[in-house]
Amino acid sequence: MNPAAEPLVQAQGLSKHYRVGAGFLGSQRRTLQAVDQVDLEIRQGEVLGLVGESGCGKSTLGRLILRLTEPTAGRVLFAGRDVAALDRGQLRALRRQMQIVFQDPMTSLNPRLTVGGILGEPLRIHGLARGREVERRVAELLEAVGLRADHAGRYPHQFSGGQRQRIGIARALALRPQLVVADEPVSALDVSIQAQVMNLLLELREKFGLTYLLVAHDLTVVHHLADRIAVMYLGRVVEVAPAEGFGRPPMHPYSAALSQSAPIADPTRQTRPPALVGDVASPLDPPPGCRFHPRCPEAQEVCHRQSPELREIAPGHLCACHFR
Amino acid sequence: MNQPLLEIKGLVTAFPGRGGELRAVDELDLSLMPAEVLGLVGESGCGKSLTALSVLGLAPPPGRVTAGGIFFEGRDLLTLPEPELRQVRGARISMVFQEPMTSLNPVFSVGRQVAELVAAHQAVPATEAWERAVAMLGRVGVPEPAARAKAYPHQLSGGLRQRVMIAMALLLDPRLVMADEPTTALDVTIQAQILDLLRRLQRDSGVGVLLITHNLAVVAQMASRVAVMYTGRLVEEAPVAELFAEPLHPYAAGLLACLPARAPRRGMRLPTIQGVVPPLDALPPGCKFSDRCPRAFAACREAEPALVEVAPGRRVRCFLHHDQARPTRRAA
Repeated sequence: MNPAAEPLVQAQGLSKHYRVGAGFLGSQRRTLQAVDQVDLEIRQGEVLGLVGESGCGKSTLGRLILRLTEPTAGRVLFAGRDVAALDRGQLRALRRQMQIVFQDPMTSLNPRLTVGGILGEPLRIHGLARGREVERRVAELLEAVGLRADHAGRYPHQFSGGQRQRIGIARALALRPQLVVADEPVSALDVSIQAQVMNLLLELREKFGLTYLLVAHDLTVVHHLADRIAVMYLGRVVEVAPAEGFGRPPMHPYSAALSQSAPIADPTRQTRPPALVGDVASPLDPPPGCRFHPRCPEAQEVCHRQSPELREIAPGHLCACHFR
Repeated sequence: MNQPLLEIKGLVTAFPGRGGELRAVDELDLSLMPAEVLGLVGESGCGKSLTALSVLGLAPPPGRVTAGGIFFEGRDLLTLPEPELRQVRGARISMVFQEPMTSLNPVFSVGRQVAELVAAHQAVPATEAWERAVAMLGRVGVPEPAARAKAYPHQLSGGLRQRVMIAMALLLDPRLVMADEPTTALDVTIQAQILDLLRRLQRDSGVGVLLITHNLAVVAQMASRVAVMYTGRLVEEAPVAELFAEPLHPYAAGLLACLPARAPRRGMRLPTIQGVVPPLDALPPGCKFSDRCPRAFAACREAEPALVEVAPGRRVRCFLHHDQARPTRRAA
């Protein structure tokens, strides 16, 4: 990976706030800060892993980048162009360049369409192929993801979970995008199938020169696939660091806790005491100052007052902590 | 104490199918010693959860136990009359499920649900049942237990709900807890807390634990022995350190090899197990793993290997480890 590579995507001050509570029976309207003031770059050709626990905003951030969700503030530049400033036609052309793979292939594939229909539809809609050409492209796609051309006539329910995820990936690739946002692409799969799909993602990246934003909660998956890892906590990016050496100090205390919390598949390693006490605070009511301070073992007085900036603490290593 | 706490012998749990019964658990032999933590691992549909449900007499109909014996503290649970079985269930054997939200009743406070469990099994006044519920919630690390006991399940986080489930499972001082994917639905930092809690409670109470999970890392950190299931069968059983150091069955070896955390290098292609788990009505003849096994030879496709003890505490269902059946030349 060329570290100086031009960013394909730049998120600048990106926020998504939801108003919740309709004032019913006097309940207060409150603001849920799903994503708050995020700056993040995805470089051309890299795999950027985005990790964090449920409700941290990682999936919302993926959707904001694809403009599947409209931001409350901030902007997204794709290849230098402001995605929000595009008109309908331009946005449609841009959609071809960025695609998504969902966690659960069963709920994201239309059960009434054959696989040929599912994969052929985007080609027809975008006017990329017609007639027999569609069939040929569908066959190519199926083979690229390790399925057979004659699978085109079957329906999603006739496939196993792993095969359905391959179909979901084939659909994302149909328009030959530059960027694929993969949102928990292997977390619904069994262990042995997980490895197959991870290998497929690696293979397709080489074959098609793809850039991935890999959203996942499983740090071992992200660590294996990603070049860089971004860590989110309660709507904020708290760290961006190279995957190589991730988990070694200096590290944001939350990232350190995340990497220490994953159980190790080695019975000879001693079990460690839990790195964190308490639960994640609600994004409805984020703590003042550093959002991690109520759970942080290193929190000082300043952390209660002042939100730390995401700044470079070593070349290519960004961290939002007052003490790093 | 050399008497097993739980001894499952030749257990068959089957569902009616077109061509006869489909055995989702097939001739399973498994035992668990008092105070032991046994990991039961395998992928979806291998029969690991159904094994636990069969022990409790809760196999979902039309599935039912059609053969075998389940001996708990010396009594065969399969022949126990329902009222006696009910006394065993919940009190002597309890269960923790993956998703506490679906196991807790949404319309009662968690304290009331815990207290009801006391009242169902022991004749105590309501105030005492409540006090014991609160004390137990405190023991499992629910902060401010007296106040939280009044909360409804939806008002608690996933981690706290799982603590409530664990409180219920341990309340009556059972001898066996079957925990089915107890941390799978939880975030990783919360998972670490719950695993730590289970470890401490197990050590303090000496309860035996059957830990059912797909997560080999959880087993590595929790269990002393591990049993691997495939298509309803036990294919390997070993002390946990031995299994991770040298898995004997090719399926167990494949499962361990495909873990990204065990890959020698980041970004490398992971070893995989080819193909998919066959459905129960289309199992291959011979060894049920033979169609996916990289080391299968002719005999594997003809006869199913028995589960054979190859070393003390190590059993494996594979011809590669049966001396008399070992091939002289390995087929491709």
